[in-house]
Amino acid sequence: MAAKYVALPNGVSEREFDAAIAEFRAALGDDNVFVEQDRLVSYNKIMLPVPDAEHAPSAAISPNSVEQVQACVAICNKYRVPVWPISTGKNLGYGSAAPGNRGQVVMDLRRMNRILEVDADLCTALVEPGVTYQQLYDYIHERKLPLWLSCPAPSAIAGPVGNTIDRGVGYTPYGEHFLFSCGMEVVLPNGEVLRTGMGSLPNSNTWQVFKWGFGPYLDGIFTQSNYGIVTKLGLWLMPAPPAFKPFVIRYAEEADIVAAVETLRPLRMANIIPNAVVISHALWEGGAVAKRSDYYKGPGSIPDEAVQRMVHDRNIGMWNLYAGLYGSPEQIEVNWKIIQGAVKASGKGEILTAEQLGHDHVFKYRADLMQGKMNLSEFGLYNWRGGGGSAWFAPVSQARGGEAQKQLALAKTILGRHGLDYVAEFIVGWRDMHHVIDLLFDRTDAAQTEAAKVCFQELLHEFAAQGYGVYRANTAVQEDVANLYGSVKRDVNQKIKRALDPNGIIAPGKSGIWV
Amino acid sequence: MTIGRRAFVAATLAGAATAALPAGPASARILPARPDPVLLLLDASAPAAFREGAGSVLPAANLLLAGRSAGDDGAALVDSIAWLAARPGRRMVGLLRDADAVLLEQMTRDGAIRCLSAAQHCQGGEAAVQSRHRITALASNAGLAGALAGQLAATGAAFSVVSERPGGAHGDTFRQDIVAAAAAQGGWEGALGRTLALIAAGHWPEQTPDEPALFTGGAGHSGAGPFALRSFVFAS
Repeated sequence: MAAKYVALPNGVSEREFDAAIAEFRAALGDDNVFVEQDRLVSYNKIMLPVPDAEHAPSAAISPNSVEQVQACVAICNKYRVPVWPISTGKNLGYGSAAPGNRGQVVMDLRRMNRILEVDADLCTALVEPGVTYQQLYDYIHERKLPLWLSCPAPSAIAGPVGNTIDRGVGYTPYGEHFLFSCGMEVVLPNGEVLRTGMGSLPNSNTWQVFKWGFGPYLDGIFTQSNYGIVTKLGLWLMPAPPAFKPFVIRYAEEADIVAAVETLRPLRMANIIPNAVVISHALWEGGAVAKRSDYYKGPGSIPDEAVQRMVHDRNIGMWNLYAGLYGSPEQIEVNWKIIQGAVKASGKGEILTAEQLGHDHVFKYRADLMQGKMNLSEFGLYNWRGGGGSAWFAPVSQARGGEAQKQLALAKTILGRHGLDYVAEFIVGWRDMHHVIDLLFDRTDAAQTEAAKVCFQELLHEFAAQGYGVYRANTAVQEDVANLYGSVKRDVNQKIKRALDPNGIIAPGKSGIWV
Repeated sequence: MTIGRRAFVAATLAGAATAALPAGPASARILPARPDPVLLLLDASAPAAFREGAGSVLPAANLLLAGRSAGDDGAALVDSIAWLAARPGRRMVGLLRDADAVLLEQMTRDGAIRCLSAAQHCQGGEAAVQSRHRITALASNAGLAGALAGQLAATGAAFSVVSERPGGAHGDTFRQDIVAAAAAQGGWEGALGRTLALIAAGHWPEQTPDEPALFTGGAGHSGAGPFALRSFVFAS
């Protein structure tokens, strides 16, 4: 351990780091540069099955303007100090606010929290990285603007910039967040400021309405990458619909996932159901409000019999498909009939609406998320087993029932080997599904933590052997996932990195990309 | 947890009375029942001994109950952090269930807030017999791991206490002998509450953080049900 610092950046001496810290303080002020242990604890809290020490920051810095970000980048280049930028850092099962590698300096952008513009006619917004969904939600509601947000489950405390550039998803018709972003401002590793799309054109007023600009479309290379620091992001907001009808279709058997997906896909592709639908397994549904020990205290994964008992006790489905209809009352009436007909024709599932379940806590929080209302109910999953371990494994699947069933069986087999539970949901896009599995484990139990680590590796590799890859990965497995996507992709990513960031100062190792 | 809803109960530790606070701006919602700079934030299901132990040191501290059983649904966490950050010199001592504690930790990432102590306390699951305690070793809670181990040893039940420094290199933990302490009133939960209150009150001397260590001892089950709690002291 370094004598003076919690950790040191790789290849940087204590003396060099002293000098860098002094320059950070001069640029940002003493109050915005942290090296003390008691102020770095919250930047080192991870939920992954690896030691905190592997993700210990050497310092945290908090600029509040583009100019200050540029100043920090210049200091980083001068001393070869790597920074790990975070917006709000609430990516819990993917690594939280802790840096990808030990000794990196966290650049906490929470003070850059200005909502720069909301256009209620064009339904667009331009925000800085520290803006939270709660902040934007409050802004819209205080001004009574007829706009809806799309937020992920940690809604209130997370932010649109971080979630979007990590290619996160929400639950409204605008749930594929990167798809509904428009225009970025990026501080490049050499300190230059790039505005993508129409933003490069002086006096343009189309930055937030036209995505493509001229020439290559660059926005994508600044997502899940380390080619720059995004300091502004344009968003498309959803016009508040005149009416909204949330509903759940409950399925009794695990094998009913096939019927659920096959029934849903045509409705989703035709935009009759326009939102990012969730098909939640009973353990996700019940796990957010119940404790595991209420149903099972023995060794190994929770048995199917205990899950069935929970389904019965809590009056939930083994699968619970949440969706919504949006539009005029007339549109909803027409689409509702189509949905009822499709479910009836499938011979599976029971449809329930707000009129029947309005007081049900889980239905209410799902309905809130489908209309972009802030809600933190899903944090209840962390009480399911307890012990503070969570790692999200999220392979992509075709939106086919057979594929969902295949992934379900594979996941349960692997989890079962390690005594972990299948706590999962499918988030359904137009043609794909994100199969999100939360590996919940007890970090105070060394054996279970090791089991979770081994299990995650087996999930990655056995799914990859079947041709399935994850859409996002936690900071402990970036290298493994990058390797699974092949050497050509890694080489191209590296060439771009070397061209833009020759000193390797921005988030080295993010998505397996190094200089 | 619906953040829009604000309803919680505040009370002084010294008295049995509780008072429902009026609605108002977030920063004003925790109007201290007394102007004490310490807030005790507890899950409604937290052991009474912890509260009593803390109360023996901080009888005038303000009390806020969190967790679904208190009908709080997350708002208490948001408001407790707003209260803490609103004025320098405030302290917050707490014992929460995992989900709320994870959420609270996320909210403490603020330049104005320092962590004086953080620990996990679990029992149940695969290692069902043993209670397991994992402490972040800081200058402000130096000695906590050994003191807690001593109290756990006094109960005779199986336990482990791991002490880790932030950033400490992996694998440098060593075993330490345990000296069983005289059993404190309220058991280890009471002793923990009292120690954290002393830290919050500034009566626990800062020292070099504990070396990474593993304490184990006892045998058999304590008789307590499964639990997964986190204790903490934060300061502004």
